[in-house]
Amino acid sequence: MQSLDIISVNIWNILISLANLLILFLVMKKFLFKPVMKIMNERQSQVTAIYADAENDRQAAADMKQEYETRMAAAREEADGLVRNAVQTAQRKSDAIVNEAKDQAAHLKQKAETEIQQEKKQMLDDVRTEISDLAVSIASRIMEREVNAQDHADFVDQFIQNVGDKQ
Amino acid sequence: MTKEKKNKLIDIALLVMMILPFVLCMVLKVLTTPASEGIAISGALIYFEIPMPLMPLYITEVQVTSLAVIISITALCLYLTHGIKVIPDSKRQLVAEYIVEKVNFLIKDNMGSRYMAFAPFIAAIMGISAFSSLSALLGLFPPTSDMNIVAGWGILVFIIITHYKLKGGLFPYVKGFFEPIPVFAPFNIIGEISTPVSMSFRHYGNVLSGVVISTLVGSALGGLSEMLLGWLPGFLGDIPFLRVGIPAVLSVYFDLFSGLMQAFIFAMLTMLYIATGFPEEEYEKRQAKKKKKALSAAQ
Repeated sequence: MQSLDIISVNIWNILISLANLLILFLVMKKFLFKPVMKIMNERQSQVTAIYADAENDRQAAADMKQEYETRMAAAREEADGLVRNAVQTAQRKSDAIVNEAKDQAAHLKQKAETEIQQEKKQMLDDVRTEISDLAVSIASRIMEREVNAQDHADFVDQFIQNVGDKQ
Repeated sequence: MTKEKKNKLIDIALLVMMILPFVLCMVLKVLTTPASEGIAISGALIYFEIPMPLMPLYITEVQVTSLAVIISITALCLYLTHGIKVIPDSKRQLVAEYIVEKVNFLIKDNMGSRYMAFAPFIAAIMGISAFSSLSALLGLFPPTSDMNIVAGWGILVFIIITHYKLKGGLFPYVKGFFEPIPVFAPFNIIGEISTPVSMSFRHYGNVLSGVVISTLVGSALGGLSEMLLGWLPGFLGDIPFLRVGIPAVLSVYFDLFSGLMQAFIFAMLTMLYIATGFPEEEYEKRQAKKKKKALSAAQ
């Protein structure tokens, strides 16, 4: 069997090789690049979708957290308000009670003073009545005896002294 | 038959389709290679010839091996992308994606994203070149050591380069030959033609020289073995012991490294020539003019 020369040029062989490369190009394009690129693009879009979902979820979670925090703050404020109100109410009530007690005490004191005054007055009246009775009785007794000026003066002195002692 | 079994059968069929062509080529080579004495460095064996105008078409080892390469690469592509899924569950899908991604990255890096459609072409060049050169490891006559094969690729690349250069208009293309001064025209034309010639000769020469050197070293080692170990009694003296192992070291360089290197260089040069040959400014200007014309025509 013959063989080619080590260096030989053959147009048909060149053309065949050219066609071979073209065919292989088409094969590569159709059977390797097209399916692989398709899959890769699909994956890319899937990944993008997943990322978008994750971002949405994160956003939702952040919103929820925000809302929860707002609510928490509102609740805390409310609780604070309640406590403050209660404290105020209690304060007011205690003030009222104390005031009332004070009023009552003042009233009682006044009443007691009035009573004391009255009693004092009463007593004074009593004393006066007694004095006048006494004076009358003394006068009647004096009338029964003879009276001289000296005696009289002594008597009045004594009497006044007695009255002062009594008082 | 379940779907899983069917898929497995298809996988096996594709694997067989990938390997069988090369096995057949080897069988054919073993059956047809004439027993020869001494060293012979010659071209591919001619199986038969078809009469054609101008010159007969020789169907040689090279044609058969090229066909085997194409069938094998096709089967490989089909195998890699068979059962491809959005969420990968097989290693071969990862390999397929790795290849596609790498080639795309190479294109984007060297040519720009305008040329992404070239990715399959560059992958085809690399694949056919690498497979052709590596077929030498199977004892076949590597198609890349036949000048016609690589010349065909070079011419195709040259056509593409010229096509891209002509996108800037015929006049700028012709004008480019007369720059910087009209006297340079012959040199420019020679330079233009030398592109495919240098590309194909570089590739073909590298692989062929590897074959030649391997043959020479092999025969030299045979002679050396006969000289040094010929005194061994009986048939032991006839066995060329020195030929065992030592040529494999050369093969690592000439077949593996050089073959893959040349495939890469060929693809790289293709990309660079196309990308640098494209007159971007002229093209933009022309497109703008066309747009204007179309607009005025529409009005």
